[in-house]
Amino acid sequence: MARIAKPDRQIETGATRDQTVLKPYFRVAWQVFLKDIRTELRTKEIFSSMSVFSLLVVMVFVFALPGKLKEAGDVAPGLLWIAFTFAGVLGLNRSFINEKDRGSLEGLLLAPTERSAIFYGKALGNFTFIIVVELLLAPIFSLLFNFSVLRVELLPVLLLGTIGFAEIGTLFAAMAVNTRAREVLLPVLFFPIMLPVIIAASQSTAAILTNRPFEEISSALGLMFFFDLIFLVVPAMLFELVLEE
Amino acid sequence: MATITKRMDFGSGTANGKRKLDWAKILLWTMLVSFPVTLIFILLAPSDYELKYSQRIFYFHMPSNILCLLSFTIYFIGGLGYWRTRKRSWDILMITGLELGVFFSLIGIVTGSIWARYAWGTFWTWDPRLTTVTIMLVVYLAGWMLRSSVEDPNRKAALTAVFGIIGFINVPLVYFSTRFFPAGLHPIVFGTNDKVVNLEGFMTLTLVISIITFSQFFVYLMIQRIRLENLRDQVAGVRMALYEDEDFV
Repeated sequence: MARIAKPDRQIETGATRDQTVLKPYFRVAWQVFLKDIRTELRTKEIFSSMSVFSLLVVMVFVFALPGKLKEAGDVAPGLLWIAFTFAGVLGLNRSFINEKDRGSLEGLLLAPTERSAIFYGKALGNFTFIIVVELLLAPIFSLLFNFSVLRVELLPVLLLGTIGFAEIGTLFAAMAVNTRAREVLLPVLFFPIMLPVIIAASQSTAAILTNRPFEEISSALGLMFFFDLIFLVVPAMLFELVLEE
Repeated sequence: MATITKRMDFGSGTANGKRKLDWAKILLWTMLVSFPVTLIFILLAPSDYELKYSQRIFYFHMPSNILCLLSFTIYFIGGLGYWRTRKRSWDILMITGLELGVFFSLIGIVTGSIWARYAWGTFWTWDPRLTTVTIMLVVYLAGWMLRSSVEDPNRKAALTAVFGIIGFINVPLVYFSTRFFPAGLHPIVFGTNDKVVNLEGFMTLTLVISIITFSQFFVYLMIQRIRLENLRDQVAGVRMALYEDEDFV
């Protein structure tokens, strides 16, 4: 408990010591992130549901495509990214629905800070949850499909793709939580916008797994980088509009 | 923007005793002339050497695609405007762009698909442009769903604006990403596109006339849509006033 209290004290002393504007801003984002991690470590709600769900998705693939397993290399990259996307949507949904249902969203909004700081904190939390589940799922996927997807070269693809998921996903989760359909609406909004990333990620994953030269994936990686860069800025600008009462 | 919607607001009548021009009615009458004229031009235009009669669907296909892009741009501009000002008039512009965009992209995709059957021998191919338009349609359908699942009018406008801005920025990214599709699986036939570029004089004239006619139709629909939304606001206002009266009685 003493460890948890420490960052809060930092924020009090930090606010008086720092004259710059940016430092408290990043500190708020960091605190929101830490809060999410702390909540998750206590409840294990998001993580457990995401990992079990993604495992089930992979198992459904194995059972649904028994004939295809001989040429696993053709389908594996696509299936891997479908599993990641589905698991990601599940986790993203919880990130704001939990806040809303427990009434803690109002508390967050009352914080005397830029709303975009909350967005970055939330997005960082979502990124962490998704990437952890992805890193956990990859070996299980390799095991079940009898086809190894464990390559160091895949890490940049995974990172770029997941950053895009977290950015757009956090914004849309905040939007969907205020609608009637909630859980249903997030995938409907999320999938079409994420298509560039899903296409680029699965194509470059396929290229890496079949040992094709780097030149083939460099433009796909560039596109994902560009996507991440744009949507690092734009959702933060629009976040205030989303959370307006 | 507020002045435009106010001018479109014919439901409230003419307060100053001055008669305002009813653009919707004028357009309706001119369309009665321009639609048959366009059809005659389309029928008189020379047939394409290879594509024969099927090429004529192009005069429907291209205008609707241009207008679909225009509608989504209007939606985007409305979104930016709402983001800056939080004004209802921008919201009305957004919903107009969104609905007309879905309508015209559907026309574009259906006519394109029929034409592709004759030109390329298939109803559907994952050609980059086709894929982009399809994804765009799906994005804006999602926007429509988002809009219909929010009750509060302010929140409805805010979420529509956010989604419109994100969706519009996403379009070029979608276009670039479709190039990563494995090329060997879906042969892309560009042969027809070369011919379209070298349109003969009369064909170009027909195309221009067709675009003008479709634009008339577009502006007409836009005026009517804005008017409908304004009338809805008025009805809501009247209803509110009525409820307030009941409380007093």
